[in-house]
Amino acid sequence: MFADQRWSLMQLSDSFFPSGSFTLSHGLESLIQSQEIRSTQDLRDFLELILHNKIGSMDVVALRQAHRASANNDNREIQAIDALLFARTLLQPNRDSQCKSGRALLMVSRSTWNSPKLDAIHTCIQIGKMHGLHPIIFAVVGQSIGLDEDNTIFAFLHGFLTGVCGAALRLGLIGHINAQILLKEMAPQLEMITQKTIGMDLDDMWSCTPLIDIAQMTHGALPQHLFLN
Amino acid sequence: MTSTLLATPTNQQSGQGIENSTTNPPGTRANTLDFYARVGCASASADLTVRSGQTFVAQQYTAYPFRLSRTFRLDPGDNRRAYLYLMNSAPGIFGGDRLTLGLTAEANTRLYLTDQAATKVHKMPVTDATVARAQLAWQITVGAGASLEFVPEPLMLYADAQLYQSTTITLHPSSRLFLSEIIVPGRLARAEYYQFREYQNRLQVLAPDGTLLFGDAMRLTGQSNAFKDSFFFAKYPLISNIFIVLPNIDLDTISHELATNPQLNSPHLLTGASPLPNCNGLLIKVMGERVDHIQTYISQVLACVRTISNEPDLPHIPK
Repeated sequence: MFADQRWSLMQLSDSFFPSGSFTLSHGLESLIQSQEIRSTQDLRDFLELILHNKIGSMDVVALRQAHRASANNDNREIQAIDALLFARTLLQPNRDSQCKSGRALLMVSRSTWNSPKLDAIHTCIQIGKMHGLHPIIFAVVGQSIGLDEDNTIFAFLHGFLTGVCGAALRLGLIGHINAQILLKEMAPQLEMITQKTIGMDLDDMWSCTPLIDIAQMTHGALPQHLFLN
Repeated sequence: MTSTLLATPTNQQSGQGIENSTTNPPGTRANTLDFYARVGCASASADLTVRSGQTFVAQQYTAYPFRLSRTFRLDPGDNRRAYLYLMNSAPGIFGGDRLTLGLTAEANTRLYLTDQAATKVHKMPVTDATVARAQLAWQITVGAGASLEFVPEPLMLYADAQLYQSTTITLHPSSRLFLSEIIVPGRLARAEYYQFREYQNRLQVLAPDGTLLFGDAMRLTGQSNAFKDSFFFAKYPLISNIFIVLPNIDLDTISHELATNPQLNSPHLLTGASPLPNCNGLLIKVMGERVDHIQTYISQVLACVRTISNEPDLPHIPK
């Protein structure tokens, strides 16, 4: 990996990068308030389940295909993958948050890196040809700044993992030390998920996190909440 | 567009199944399926048992193990809606089964479709690839202004079962859909829990031009499910989904009813609702411990939908 690519990877996957994903708890806030999640082990189960049964089996599959389409300069295919992921994201809070964080990521990325591909995606969103879901935008950003598929996926998963651990920290479930230990222990899972999606195409996307889905659906009805979902 | 009933239906043997056709030449679309039914809306009738505006079975083809019940008129004071039971004469689904089913609800029809009992998905020996798994595929078309309520009984996944299920529904923008499913991960009363091998369920709901409105793909592993003993699955082992598409109905009214109606707030169930993408529809997810709790909830949601849509009250469905 070249030095500038290494730096791009660090910059894109850093939680300091303002993509808006720090406002998401992915149902964790709801489950903590209902006292279904009370310990670090519960949080670990939550992370493993959502990573393997939703993020890894759906978002990452779409991300990998969008990265390939971007490498082929196939803007129509990127639009088609975005439309498919939108139709397969059945929970409105998730669709809304993916659109918001995707557009925020695109805005910051266009300002940080000059790329005609990002400008083209921006135009598609402006004229209503794309929703601009976060995994799709992340794929095009990663590809356009020179990251390969696996490194883009790893950065995406790292961002998700640190985002949820950051939410757990702010919700008072775990402390800084336990958060770092958990991150280190989860690292092999990210590699496993990255490898699992290599042979998967869009028809292979699936998800199965019914209890977390319900937690995300009912999040808006919480009397008070810190996060968007 | 409505169908015109020309003659009293007659049963005909067709291939290895039985075809019952009133309007179309026998064999239309049905020959490649194990079950096919087409319901139409009568505009004029030579058969005095069918009145104008009534939904009737215009064509049916059934091969083993399927049969279709006669048409029941259960709505009090309104006999336009047809109530049909899909009957399965087999003890359940077995390894090697490749079952394909089709249903067409023509324009302006109203159909409630259910089955008679839970579908049992039996043990499938992994040693023989030809019978190691089963497939069940539905192709459904719902025409303009039609209403389909498809409320099957639960699907029970026995030990060593492996089932791939797919449902494709083509939905006219003006048609209504109520679709429910209940997945039971084993014979829970016998302490058989997540002993099946795998269950895949793919749903695609399409516009008439083939555009995907929304889709869902569930892959539930049994024996190898690393999360089956965590509270994410163990606390509420039954999983249910309800898909509702209602053009021209304010979904907020239904969402408000779901949140505030005491009958729809069971302490035994975990529920959540969300608007669906690309249509005026709602997804309701339900988890529970007992089938009867979930079935009662589904009936109450359908009753609520009927009321909000100014449709006849949901009657008792004899089982």
